[in-house]
Amino acid sequence: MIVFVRRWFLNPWTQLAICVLLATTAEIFLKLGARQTANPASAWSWTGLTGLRSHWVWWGILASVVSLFNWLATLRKLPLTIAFPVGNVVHILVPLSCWIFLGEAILPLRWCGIALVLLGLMIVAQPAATLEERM
Amino acid sequence: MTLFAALLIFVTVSCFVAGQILLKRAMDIIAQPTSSRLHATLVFTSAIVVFAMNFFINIGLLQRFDLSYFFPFQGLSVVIIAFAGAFILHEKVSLRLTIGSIVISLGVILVSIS
Repeated sequence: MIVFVRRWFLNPWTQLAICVLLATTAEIFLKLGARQTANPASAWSWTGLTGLRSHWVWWGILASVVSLFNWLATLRKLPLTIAFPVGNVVHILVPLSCWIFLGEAILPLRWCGIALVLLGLMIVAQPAATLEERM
Repeated sequence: MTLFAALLIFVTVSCFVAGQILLKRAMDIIAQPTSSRLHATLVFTSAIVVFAMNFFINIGLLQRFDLSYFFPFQGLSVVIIAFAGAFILHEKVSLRLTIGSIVISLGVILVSIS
C-alpha cells in the first residue's frame, strides 16, 4: 500500500496536478493578504512590501515555494512542451476560484477575455515551450 | 487603469520572464563540468532578485485590482518570451506563435476594459 501511494505521489502527472492546485491556492492567499493590507493612499503600497504584514501572504509564499518544487519534480520526468500546456489549466482555475472563493463579480466581457487568453496560450504552448527551453 | 499601473504590470510580467530565463541559465551553468561556481551563484542570485521584484509588485497590484482582472495579464509572458527569443536568439517567430500572441493580446485588452 505504501509503495503504491509513494509511486502515485512521485508520478510526474500527480506532481503537476499538485503544482497547479498549489499555484492557484497561492494566488488566492496572496489576494486575501493584499485585500487585508490594502492602503492605496500610501505611496509605498505599490512596492507590495506592506503585504508582508498579513499571514495570508506568508501562506501564499509557502504555497508558491512548494508549487515550485512540484514544478521542478514535474520537469525532471516530463518535457516542458507537455508540462507547459497542461500547466495552463491554472488560467481556468484562478478565475473560477476568484468567483467561488473571493466572490469577485466577473462580467461576461472579462470571461471572454480570459477565454481568449487561454485559447492563445493553447495555440502558442508548443512553440513557446520550445523557445523557452532554448533560452 | 492608470498608465503607471499598466507600466507596473509590464514590469512585473517582464521580471517573471527574466527570472525564468536567468534560473534556467543558472541550471545550465551548474550542469557544465567546467562551470564557475561564482558565475552560477551570481546568475542564480540575479534570478531570485528579479523573482522577488515580480512578487512584491504583484502584491502591490493585487492591493488595487481584482485577482480575476490582474491574473490574465500573466498570459503576456508568452508574448514577451516570443519577442525576447526574436531579439536575443534571433529566432524567426513562427506563424503559430504570432497568431497565439495576437489572440492573447486581444484577450488581455478585453480583460483590461472589463
